[in-house]
Amino acid sequence: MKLTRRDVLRFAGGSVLGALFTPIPWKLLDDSSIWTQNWSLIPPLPRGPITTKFTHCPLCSAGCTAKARCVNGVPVGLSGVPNLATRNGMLCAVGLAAHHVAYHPLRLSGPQAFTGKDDGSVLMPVTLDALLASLGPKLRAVMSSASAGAVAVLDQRPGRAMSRRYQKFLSGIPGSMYVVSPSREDGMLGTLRALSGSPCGPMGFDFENTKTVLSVGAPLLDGWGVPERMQVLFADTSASGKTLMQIESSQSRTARGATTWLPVVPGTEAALALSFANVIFREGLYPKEIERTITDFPRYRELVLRYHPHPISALTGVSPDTIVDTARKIAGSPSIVIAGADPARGPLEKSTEILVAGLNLLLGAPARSGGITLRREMPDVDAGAMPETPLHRVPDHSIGLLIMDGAEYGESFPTSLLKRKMVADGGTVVLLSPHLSARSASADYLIPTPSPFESWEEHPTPPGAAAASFSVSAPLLAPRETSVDAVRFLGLLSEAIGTGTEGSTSPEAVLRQRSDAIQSAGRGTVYAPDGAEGKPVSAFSNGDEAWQAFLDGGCWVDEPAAPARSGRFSILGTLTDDELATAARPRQREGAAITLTPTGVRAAMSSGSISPILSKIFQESDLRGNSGTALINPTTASQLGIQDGSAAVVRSRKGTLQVRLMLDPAVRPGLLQAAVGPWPNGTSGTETMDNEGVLAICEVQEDGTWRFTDVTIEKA
Amino acid sequence: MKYRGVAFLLAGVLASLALGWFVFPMVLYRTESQPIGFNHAIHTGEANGMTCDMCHEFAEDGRFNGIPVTAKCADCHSTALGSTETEKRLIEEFITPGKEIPWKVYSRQPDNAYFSHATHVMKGKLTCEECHGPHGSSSELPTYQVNRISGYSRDIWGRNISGVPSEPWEGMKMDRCVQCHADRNKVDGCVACHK
Repeated sequence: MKLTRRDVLRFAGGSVLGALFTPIPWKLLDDSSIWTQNWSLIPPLPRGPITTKFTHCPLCSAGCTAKARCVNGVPVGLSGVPNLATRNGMLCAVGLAAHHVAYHPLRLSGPQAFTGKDDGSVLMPVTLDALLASLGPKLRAVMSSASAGAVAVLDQRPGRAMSRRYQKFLSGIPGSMYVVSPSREDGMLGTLRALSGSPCGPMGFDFENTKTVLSVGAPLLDGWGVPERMQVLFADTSASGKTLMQIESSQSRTARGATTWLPVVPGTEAALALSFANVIFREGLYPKEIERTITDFPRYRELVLRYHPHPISALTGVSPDTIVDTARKIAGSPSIVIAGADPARGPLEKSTEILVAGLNLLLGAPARSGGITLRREMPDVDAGAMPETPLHRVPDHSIGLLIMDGAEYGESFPTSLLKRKMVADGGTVVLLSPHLSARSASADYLIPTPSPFESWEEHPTPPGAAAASFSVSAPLLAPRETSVDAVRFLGLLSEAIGTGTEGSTSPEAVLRQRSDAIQSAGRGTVYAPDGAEGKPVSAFSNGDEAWQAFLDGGCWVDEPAAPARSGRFSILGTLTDDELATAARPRQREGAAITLTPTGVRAAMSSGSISPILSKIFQESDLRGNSGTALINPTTASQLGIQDGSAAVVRSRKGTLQVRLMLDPAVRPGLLQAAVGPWPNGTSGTETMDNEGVLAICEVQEDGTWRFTDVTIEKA
Repeated sequence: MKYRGVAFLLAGVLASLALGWFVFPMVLYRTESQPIGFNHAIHTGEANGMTCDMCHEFAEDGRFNGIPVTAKCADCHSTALGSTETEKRLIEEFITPGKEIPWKVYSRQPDNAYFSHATHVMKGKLTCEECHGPHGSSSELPTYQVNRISGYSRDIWGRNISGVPSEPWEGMKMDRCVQCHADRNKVDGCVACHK
């Protein structure tokens, strides 16, 4: 029998047909799909005993209590511990993924330095010895020459034991400056201290006992202070019996959650504050004793009486009746007025901040229950702290060498502000950070510090807290061999310049000293994270017991300060008549320009260390703005002929930015809200570390603020 | 020849069927030997009367410890309990040097599948046999066959290449989990097992 071509084809056809009735295609399909789950590029899960450790989220100043689920000692999940007595156990979305940050694609693998200062300079790996050999002479040169500027440390999380190490380091350098972030949430309390006629200790807000809070732009319900504390007190004001009034140009999340939202023309907050004071004066609603404690009372009254609600209504867009009602409400019950620094928008103008802070003095809020409390000083080992200077208040071109601490506070500021503070040739900037960020492009040297959960972290009193507090996060992961912690870096730098004052110590020892100081002071209570009742510090028989309580996730809360009479204050401070006149005038827009204002959420902006998974959710969900998006009112968009979701070019005097415009009626007409971050954080090839987004086109004003910038918008 | 075409077609079908059902499993699976023999029956039988959880124990906090560590074996086998070659090897190669036995696990699941013995045994009251069959009464370990493509044990798919279990306890694929949950009216979402 001769085999023909047709026979072969029939046999093949039969084979194919038969194969369908065998496991071959179906099993191969199943096994192949399983095979793809085991590719070597997929990291294997850790295996081992599952344990739980209490710790504190190290990503921002709130220091929320967290429960870490660990497999073989490696944290694989974080969850909050709500309803603690300390009210700091509710994790935000960023905090829930804090354990991812150690694996961030933008982590620094070792010390790096830019090859120069020109645009063509690139970042090159260097050894730590080579970096110190290069940095040491520069530091000595700045120290020895007044014209070379000052040595400064920018501490983005002041109040830590590490902050004291920085201050100790600087104290040996004449003319040095201890600089803090411009956007501190409780910056207004610093303004109040500055208005005090006598030295004044730390302050806090007694939100628990207050009745009414008037917030001028502070994002109280959007991550401000300790998020759980604010949510419990103000998210449901009908339950708490409190009133939250939000003054803001757009309907932010806080404005939406507030009892009342007062939409205000951008930049007229100072005039509105003066108008509230006008009503309080005319109706005699202020406590009479302030006439004795306010040193410039007559000048203030004369100023205020010029701001009648009717003309101010036309200026601010807030009706006269609303101004009168609001003034009566804050004067009729224990109240707090907050001038809010925003993590993206930065501080209010100096004059506005003083005038808003002055309302608290007019209401007699300092040292009053439900007002502004005087906090006790944190027990400390090193006395003689240096004065803090917010970055925007540092004299221009005065810093010759800047060390930026990598403990990011979760807020941002324009690089142009930093450059303005450096000497004319740019000086030298050293950045201590575990990863590349928008701030890296400003630095000459990058020191790779351990990542959160690899390092010993301290959580001192969070912004606005009524009592001092302290907790620590012990490392859950081993740091990389190339990491250099800040304590060691300062020690090496001291050796390099021959001062050697730092000695050999470790981050753990630094924190232990503070723990010992608290135990020695014998006051306050340590609250365990399991919700058990607190243990008085006086019940700890020695420092080891107290330290162990902190290692177990405990949080120390200080006793309230003894009642004290409010001191004497100047309500207008150093403001000149010209400054006052300017403060109460609305900002003039150029022609048909749109007003650009940056927005962002604490710890989720370009310079923040956020898990790439979350930044991807930010990118894809549109639940919040992310880098490259901007919100605009539909009416304004219609006038510009812009559709929802269309690409546009935003142009200011500082530069241009391409954004995707989204229509949002919550944004005030004429305003453009552009998100500072977050970035794709290494998940996108388009990311570069010098991409600071909207902040790059924000104009920094004379007083160092950058809240509003005139821009034009064109279709892309 | 009248049926020549049909004959070649059928020959092709038969060849495929033979290849698929008999040759393919032999090619797909590779047989690997366990590091040492083990007789479950001698431990659990009348002579010793041990229960499964005496070796495959639950920790005090409810965690399942899975395959026992060598130290557990050493509780009884610190010295040889007999003169067999296997016993001699157990003592010399593993217990004396304190080395763990690199068992090949028949029921090892992928990393993306989360399974809690504590939940199923302690709370769901499942017996070991319902999933593992008469493993505990076997006198020698079954042949360990590994899928050359997926890398998992043949016992996950089931001994029958068709995927149809010949015994109720055969196979540990997801469809069996789903069926068992459905039978007990315990319907869960994806994240119950794929966390």
